[in-house]
Amino acid sequence: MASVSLRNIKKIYPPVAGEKKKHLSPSDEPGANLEKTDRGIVAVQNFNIEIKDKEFVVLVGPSGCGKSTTLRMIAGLEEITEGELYIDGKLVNELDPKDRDIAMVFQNYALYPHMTVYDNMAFALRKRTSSKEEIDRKVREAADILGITEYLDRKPKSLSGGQRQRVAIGRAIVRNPKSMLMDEPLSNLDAKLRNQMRAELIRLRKKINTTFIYVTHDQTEAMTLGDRIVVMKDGFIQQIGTPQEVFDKPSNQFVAGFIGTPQMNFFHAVLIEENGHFCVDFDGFKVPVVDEDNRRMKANGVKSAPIILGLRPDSLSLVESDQYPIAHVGVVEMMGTNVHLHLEFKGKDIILVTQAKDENQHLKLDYESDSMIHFSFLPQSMYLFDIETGKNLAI
Amino acid sequence: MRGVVAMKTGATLKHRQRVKTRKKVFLLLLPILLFAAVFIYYPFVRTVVNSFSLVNAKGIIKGFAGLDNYAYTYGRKDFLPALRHTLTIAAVNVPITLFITISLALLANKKRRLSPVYETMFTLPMSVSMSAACMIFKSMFSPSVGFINYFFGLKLGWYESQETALSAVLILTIWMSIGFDFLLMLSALRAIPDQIIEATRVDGINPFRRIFKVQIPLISPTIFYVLCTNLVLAMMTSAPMIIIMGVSSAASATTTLMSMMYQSGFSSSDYGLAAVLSISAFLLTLGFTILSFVFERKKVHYQ
Ligand SMILES: Nc1ncnc2c1ncn2[C@@H]1O[C@H](COP(=O)(O)OP(=O)(O)O)[C@@H](O)[C@H]1O
Ligand SMILES: [Mg+2]
Repeated sequence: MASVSLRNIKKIYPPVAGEKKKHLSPSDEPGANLEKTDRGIVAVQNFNIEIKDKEFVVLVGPSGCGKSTTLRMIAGLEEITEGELYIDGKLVNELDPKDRDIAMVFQNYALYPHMTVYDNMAFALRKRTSSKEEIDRKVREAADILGITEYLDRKPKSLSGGQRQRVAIGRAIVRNPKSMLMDEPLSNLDAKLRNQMRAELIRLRKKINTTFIYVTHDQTEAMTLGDRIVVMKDGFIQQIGTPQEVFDKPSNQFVAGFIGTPQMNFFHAVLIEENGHFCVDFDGFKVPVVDEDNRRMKANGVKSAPIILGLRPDSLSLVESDQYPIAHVGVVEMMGTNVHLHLEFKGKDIILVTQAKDENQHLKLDYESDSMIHFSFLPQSMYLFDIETGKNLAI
Repeated sequence: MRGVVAMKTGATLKHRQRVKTRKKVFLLLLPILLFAAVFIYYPFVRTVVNSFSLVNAKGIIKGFAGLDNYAYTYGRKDFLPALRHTLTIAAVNVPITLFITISLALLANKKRRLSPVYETMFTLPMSVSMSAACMIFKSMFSPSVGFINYFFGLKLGWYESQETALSAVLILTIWMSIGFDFLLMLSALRAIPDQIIEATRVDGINPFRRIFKVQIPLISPTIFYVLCTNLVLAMMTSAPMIIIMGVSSAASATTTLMSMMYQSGFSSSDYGLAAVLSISAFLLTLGFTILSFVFERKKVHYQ
């Protein structure tokens, strides 16, 4: 039992003395787009979510968008400036971390370097109430789940990154917390290990059955781990939804660009209403909007206007016919199963993903760089966004 | 076969490189080695030689004395008190300094708006030289017009009384060590990653266990360093005895091996006695340092 509710949570970091010049920071620095008030910079605002018991929620967004701040407020490591945090229906804003029945896994593991793996895990359990045997049983059980039994007598220094991360997770699960908070736990690992640990987290989650709140900047992690994903940007929630929802129906252009890899391509286009039906004028090609979107857009009161058209790289396909838009092939990336073609279209770089082999398993070899190709896409693969607000017009 | 050959040439290459770096190291060390030879090793050797020799008042060796100087020194009735005072100063000074500096550092650890003020205040003793501090404390401890008696409403004789003289010296020497040691402790504490402390908060570790099981073990290398340097400094204490106690009637209550050596060497020109005293102090200090290295092996955790 551990539901977590955040209602109108806001975090303002007061300005630090002697750091006033920071306001002049270039706009590509993380956090440069955060709202600044005279009380300080607003790292998180308007944060509302009801996290159900045993749910796995992932906070995802670019660096500096307020993910860690949110997680740390839930943990009680950071004061909540405004709003209410409930755990199991109980207001916990003022509660110490230790009284919130949470465990946390930090990005840099934060293991106690002078203790053995065993002691790292047993340390928090050694309270007057629990017996030595019970602690031993819990530690060994957790070590077994994570496959670190053979390192129990070692110190963290002599472990690899992946092993350390397992110990950090072990330290969290031995306490059998109601909710488990993880702040970018895999980001210090190399790509291969990260994939492996991701799979292990999925397995672990089935075994230990607590509420998970997981922070990452990696959209693949978010998609594969989360029951629900919270996409954040500049301190605001952009969208909350299942991985499928967020992928299929991104609420705005930012979410559409952030979720999915390679990134969605965006084009300038014009939305035209003809006889009660919308179609998109894409570089002179008229593409009808599918019925479902058409209906929603009407309900939303959408008018004919210039828009942003979003197309995922794998929904673009190569065609032989010169009836279709033409692009210049730049870099060709052979990825094994797929080929990523970096195209230049009307001065814009776009990506097209296509199969490397045809039905007969023969490599298609007609993607030479510096050649010209034609591409097309299906009407149902179009995402339409408001040119000013970036809002998805069809949801 | 080829692998073996490759390994061999690799080894000689490495060897040659090592010889080269070793030469470079010696070259770089040469200035300090020369300096040490003139100002440290020669006096040291000379002291050892003196301790076994008959040395006249001009410092000239007049003959071999065997263990006579040692027998004479250890037979003097002021030797044992001096040894006792030396050990007392070390035994009191080192733990109290450690306790005070660790406590102050723990209190000042968290960054607050007024942190620079505390930090400066606690570090201030560092900027005062030993002799200046002695003069200041001498006036503060003055039984009749001193600030300390006045402030605390005491009527103690401090350096003028047999009972309190050593305490006065201890207070001064502890005060002297606090500044720098505090700074070392504070920087060591602040070097502990925030996330480790946050982990203890989330794990519900109470402050007492956090301090004794996490923070202190993690700053143990610094504690060890402070322990060793303080031990040596405490064993070598002599300035307060000479500057404050010099002419006091209670001077004999604070004599240490080092101040006794100073008296015998510079005032009485008894170089044999002075040499034996300094060698005794050296051996004692060496012994304690070795002991503290045993402690290091068990308790000090290096990252
Ligand atoms: N202790 C702090 N004091 C002031 N600003 C902070 C502090 N911690 C984080 N911030 C700022 O708050 C913003 C959000 O930070 P954070 O939550 O760590 O982002 P994320 O984890 O999404 O990368 C950043 O712009 C960061 O600079
Ligand atoms: Mg972060």
